Amino acid sequence: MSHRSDSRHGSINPGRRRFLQATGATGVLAAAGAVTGSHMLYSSNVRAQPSNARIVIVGAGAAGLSLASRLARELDGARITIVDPREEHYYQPGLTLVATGAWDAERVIDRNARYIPRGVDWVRSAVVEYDPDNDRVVTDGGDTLEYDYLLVATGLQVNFDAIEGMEPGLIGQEGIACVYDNPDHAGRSWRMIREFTDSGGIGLFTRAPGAIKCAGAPLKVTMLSEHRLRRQGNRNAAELHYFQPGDSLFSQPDMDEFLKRHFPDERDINVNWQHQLKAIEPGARQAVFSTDNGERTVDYDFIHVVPPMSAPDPVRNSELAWADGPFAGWLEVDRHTMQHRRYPNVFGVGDVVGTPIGKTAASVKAQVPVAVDNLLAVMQEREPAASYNGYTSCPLITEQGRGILVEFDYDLNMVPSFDFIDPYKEQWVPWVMKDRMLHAAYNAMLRGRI
Amino acid sequence: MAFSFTGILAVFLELARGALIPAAVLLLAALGVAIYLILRRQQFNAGPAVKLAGAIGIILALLAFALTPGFSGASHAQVTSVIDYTALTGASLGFGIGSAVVLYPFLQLIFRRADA
Repeated sequence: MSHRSDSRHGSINPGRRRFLQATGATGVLAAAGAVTGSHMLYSSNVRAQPSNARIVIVGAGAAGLSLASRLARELDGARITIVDPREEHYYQPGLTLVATGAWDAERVIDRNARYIPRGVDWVRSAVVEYDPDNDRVVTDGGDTLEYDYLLVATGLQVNFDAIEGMEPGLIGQEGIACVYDNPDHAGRSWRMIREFTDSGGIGLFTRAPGAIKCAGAPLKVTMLSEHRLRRQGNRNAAELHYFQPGDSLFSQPDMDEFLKRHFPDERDINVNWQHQLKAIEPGARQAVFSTDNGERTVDYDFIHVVPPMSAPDPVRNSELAWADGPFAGWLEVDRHTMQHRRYPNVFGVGDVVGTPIGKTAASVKAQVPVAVDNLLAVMQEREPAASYNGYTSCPLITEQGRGILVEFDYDLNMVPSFDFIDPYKEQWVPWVMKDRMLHAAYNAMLRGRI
Repeated sequence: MAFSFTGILAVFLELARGALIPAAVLLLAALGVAIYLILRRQQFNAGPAVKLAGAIGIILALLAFALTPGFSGASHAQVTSVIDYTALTGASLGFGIGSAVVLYPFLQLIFRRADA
């Protein structure tokens, strides 16, 4: 009697049973993954809200694309227009890694076309004028776009000319680096950081006053440069100075306390308080700082320049901006609802808004669902009820391979997403998240999935 | 900030977006082989295939444990905390088990009884 005859009669021997169990489990997992995965990749909302509203989104950065993706799914029939001249999309949270040699610049360059949802019109122009009293914006092409609802998600502008003698073309020359704005700057900064960390010398690391995007970036560039000096065996050949316009290194107090110890005690980085970069003399490799005691000129071999930042001029010069107060010039929104405080059909998200903290991609992730929910509420003549709590996050990379995942809110309380990750300890896991996971999370956010 | 299950899945799908088609082809091939073997109703000598799949899975898990910090641009010296080791171990085990599960149908095909 062969085993084959047993099989014909339907009996299953132990080996086959194990095989069936294994393949069955694989099949169920694969099927579940395929069904859920296809839903996550391509889906439409059968409960979309009917609307014929004209919605204009200004900006196709992280905030603009996320808004467009969510609104395209939540609304049926609305005419959604996104206005931005840029074809390329930059993953800006990766710029510190490009500038310090951990990533190639190509890794942060993407195309906006990949993320603009079907059915959304894309006007490849820049908005040069906001006319909220007449519900319209004017583009640099001379077109006027009328809207029922406006979402301002322009990001911010980096004001290189606020530093005397500084202009973007200097990045990558005469020891000058600047991680901000685009992968080209970050790539040229890496050449300067590599040169400095290969040879040593005097390194200056600056930070602009006021609100800047990714306020952790100047700290990360400093610490990653210091780490590379150690890895190159050149730490003793270099002097590192950090220049802070105020008297704290980080807005979250626990992290501020940590860094105030960490910089001088563990990294031998000299912190200079109340120093604001005023001018730079590239030929002489000198930097001039405004201090409480007047001007101070410092020689350098390498300098990381962080220029002041502001809302883009068309926003800053419009009726939409705060006229005065601590957020003067930034978009005047309610810090919780993201709705404009004077124009209820206008909302704002991302770096452009005048709120106490949160010019990060993580803030965008938290703000976008709130802005969308509240916009939908307003469209249905309901009160906006969704509330943004100021959530922001900074994977504070302390060296290549380790970091601290810092997450906090308007009250500056730590609000960790994952309780098991200690927000007070340098670990490898936050580095892996920064290096591998957060870009994927960012792309999922652009598609309105998270 | 809370992450929903679907949110986490969306992130992993984005992470694997470039490899989704090859992975789907591999999984479908494994399923195809499995269904073929089931439909043939032949006898199974599962032992050698299970053992080999297990051995390969263990080797791949150990390799993953050894090499993952380097792939991330870090070193083992930077893997220090409990959560670091838990994540590294979990990821390595997952990779090893996943590899073994996918390999198993193909190995079973190779190791099917000669008289089947």
